[in-house]
Amino acid sequence: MIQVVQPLETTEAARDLVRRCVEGERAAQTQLFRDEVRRVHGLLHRVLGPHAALEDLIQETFLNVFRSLPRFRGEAMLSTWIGGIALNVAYGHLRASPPPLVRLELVPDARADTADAEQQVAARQGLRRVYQLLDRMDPRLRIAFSLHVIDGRPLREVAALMSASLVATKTRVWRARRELDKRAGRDPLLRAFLDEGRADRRGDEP
Amino acid sequence: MKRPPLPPLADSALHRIERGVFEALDARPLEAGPGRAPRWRALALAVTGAAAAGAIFVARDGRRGEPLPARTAQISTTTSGSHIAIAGATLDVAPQSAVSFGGGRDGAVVVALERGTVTCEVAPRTNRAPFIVEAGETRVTVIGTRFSVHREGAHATVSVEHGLVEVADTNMTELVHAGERFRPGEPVTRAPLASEAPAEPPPPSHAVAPAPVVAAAAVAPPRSSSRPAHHRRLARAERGPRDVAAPEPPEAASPLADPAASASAPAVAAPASAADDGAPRRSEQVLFELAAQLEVRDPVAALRIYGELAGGADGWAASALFASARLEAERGQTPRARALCDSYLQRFPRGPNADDARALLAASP
Repeated sequence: MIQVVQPLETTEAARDLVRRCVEGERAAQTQLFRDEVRRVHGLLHRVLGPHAALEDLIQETFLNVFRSLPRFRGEAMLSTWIGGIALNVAYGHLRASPPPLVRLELVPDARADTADAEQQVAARQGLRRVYQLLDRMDPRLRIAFSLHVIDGRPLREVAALMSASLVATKTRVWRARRELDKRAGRDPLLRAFLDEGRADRRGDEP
Repeated sequence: MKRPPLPPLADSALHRIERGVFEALDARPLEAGPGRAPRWRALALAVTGAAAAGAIFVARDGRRGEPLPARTAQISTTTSGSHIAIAGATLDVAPQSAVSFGGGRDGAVVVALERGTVTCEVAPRTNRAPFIVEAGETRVTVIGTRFSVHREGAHATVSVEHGLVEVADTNMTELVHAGERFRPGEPVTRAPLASEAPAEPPPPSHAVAPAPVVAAAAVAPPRSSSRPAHHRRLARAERGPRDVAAPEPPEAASPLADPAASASAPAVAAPASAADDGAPRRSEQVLFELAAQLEVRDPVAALRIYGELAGGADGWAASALFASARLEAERGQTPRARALCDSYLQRFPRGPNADDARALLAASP
């Protein structure tokens, strides 16, 4: 039987940190920010790609976090709850913004330690095209795909972050992949880029 | 796909963000319950408005002691019918009928059939707000189809011409396929298509006062209480846990959790040209997505749909065949899952899930 993803409960230390943040203790707020900011940055970067507005979105995420902490019930891990807020910020941004142009200089080198110069250039171009295709995709599909396929998070974790069932998450990833594969079929550079990581396909079926 | 490297967050950027966050917090400090007062005020206003609206409609429609869906307009026909376009759907309202329109939860378009018969042709709802027809205790959730609803007292008969609808009545929920008819308390049966059936005389009007052709109401009572309790439970189970819901996102409370949450209620009585604001999705895709959604709450129905799709010859047949194998495996029906995997590999040896089917076979001895 399909299972609904249940997030882990938060720890007592996290509850205490939340309580102090809600009471307005700046040291606690700073600690929470510094504990979570890199995780939020990673999450948003994976979903949105190299993006000029990333800093603004991280800031918006934390403002939402601090203003919503009184409603945190502690039934999920604090990091998962914050991740959910970050994804909603990303979702709102994707829905509100026209597809941005991905500037090549923002795309990091892919496996620069092993590839020669020509491969590096091809990888950068391939990654750029992936982001361009993701920009045209339904934000829900994009988020699920980015977190599972690009970031390598387990489907269960993605489902918990998106407050969705495991089945819905699987379907979103599968549909995104199918869409990407379809478009990649007409783009040899992108096809070559996507095919390099086919070994990671397990668990993405609809 | 290659996993691209994640660039580290530079210290300078971190400090900029941190400064920005705390300057914004200082500008608008947290309170003991930040955001609660406005939210409670808004909630109180909503409850007050809903109560007032509910009172109006209960008074208008006293045979049911529950609030009706949000309404913004009502159409009542006399000797001739009416044809209208609304939110990606066309409705033929039969003579001597009355329907009202409004918004429901998640931006749903709700058509309440007060009396008579309405025939709806609805574009696939995959990327649109849900489309719901209510007739007394009978509730029809539309996937994308042509169907008729004929109200009989507190319930209704639903005839589906093509496509698929989900009908919820007092104690049960049924999927009604093309060419089938739903009657409360009876098994779903094959029936003549609605368009082929002889015109049924509408029952005499009861308990609904004659209304002007289009009467603005502009009220929004809550929808949830009129939905059967078992249906609400199913819906909750399908959506999964809600604890990670983000606060006050720019869109709906959980746009990521609910496929329709971001859709907004469309304008009522839109012009016909606005009814088709997007290309309809292929019916196989719509059915596949419906089956995927049904896996949790009704796996048997999901398998039935997958089975129908698997009988086809295109890419959806392959996907549906593998999905049914996976679902059977997840239900513990190993022999059936193995048989379906074998069937998949025979029919689609190079299919997109061929490796997955082999892996499933290997994992299900």
